Amino acid sequence: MSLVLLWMAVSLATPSATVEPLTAPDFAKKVVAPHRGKVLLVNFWATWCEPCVAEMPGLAKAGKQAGVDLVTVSLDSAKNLEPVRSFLFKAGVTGSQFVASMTDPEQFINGIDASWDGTVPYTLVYDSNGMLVGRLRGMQDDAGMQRAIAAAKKTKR
Amino acid sequence: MTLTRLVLATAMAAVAATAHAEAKVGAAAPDFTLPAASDGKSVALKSLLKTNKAVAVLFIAVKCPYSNGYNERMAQLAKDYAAKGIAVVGINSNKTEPAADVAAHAKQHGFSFAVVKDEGNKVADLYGAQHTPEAFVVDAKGTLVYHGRIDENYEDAKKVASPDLRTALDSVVAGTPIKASETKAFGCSIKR
Repeated sequence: MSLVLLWMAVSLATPSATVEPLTAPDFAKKVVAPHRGKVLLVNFWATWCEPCVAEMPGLAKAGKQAGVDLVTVSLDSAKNLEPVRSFLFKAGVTGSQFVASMTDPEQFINGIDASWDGTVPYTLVYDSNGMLVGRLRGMQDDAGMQRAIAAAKKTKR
Repeated sequence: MTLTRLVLATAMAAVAATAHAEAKVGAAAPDFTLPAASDGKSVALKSLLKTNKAVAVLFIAVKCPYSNGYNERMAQLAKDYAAKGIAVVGINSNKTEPAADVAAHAKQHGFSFAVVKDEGNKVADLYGAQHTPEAFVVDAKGTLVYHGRIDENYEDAKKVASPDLRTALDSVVAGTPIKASETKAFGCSIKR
């Protein structure tokens, strides 16, 4: 009994990510709008993408240190969310996360950002007004991410 | 709009422009001569164009699951279109994947087409190739006529609904305009 209580206590105390499918038309409403008032990083990634996997723990850490929100959108299959959830947990990503739900990648890519060519990792930076102020293509080092966050924090309405 | 936002917007536009400033559909495709990963012999785009109706240039990888999802399809495509006068060239521009690995990968997957090693990713830069797989088609006049994906479904070849590269090549063979000359897909970023 005490072991069960201990497990429950640890489970409740350990933050984890929830993962749900996301269609492109829902992007603004489900991903961007809930984070207005704070700088937001939206990272597109996949478990099959080595640089994405390498980048994620640093991204999670940088976001937390800078006090900005991080939402990840995985391009893995939306049929099985467990590998995504499991990886995000290990990488220290918490909160409401997503897996792209699509039949044609091109429609999804253009539905998110027409200037995106589909390369991942890809990170969009939104200021506290929910305005898109940065596009980071490819893996970012800590300094690059910090610069993008700092620039987003400076924008004013 | 504050000055800060204007500067940011301008910077973003510049980044977007740079990303697409390389090879353009409708313009001359950059020429290249690169060593075959297997034996180091030169493979030249110009030479291939002299004897073919078009050349399909595929930026591919050894370790990218997204690119590897297309191995069988690329091998089959090369066989199907060789008889129609279209050559295929695979280019590996990943700095993390040496020529020996590239050659072994090509052999393992039965690629009948030349796979070349792009040291220093110079040709990837000329074409503006960003990920693998990424396809370009150059017609006999040396014009870039297609840029984009092989098709829309990397997971299941049997469920492909939009075989964009094949459709483009069919148009070249038929001498008709390519309807979808620019398409998009996901892929692993080329490691520069």
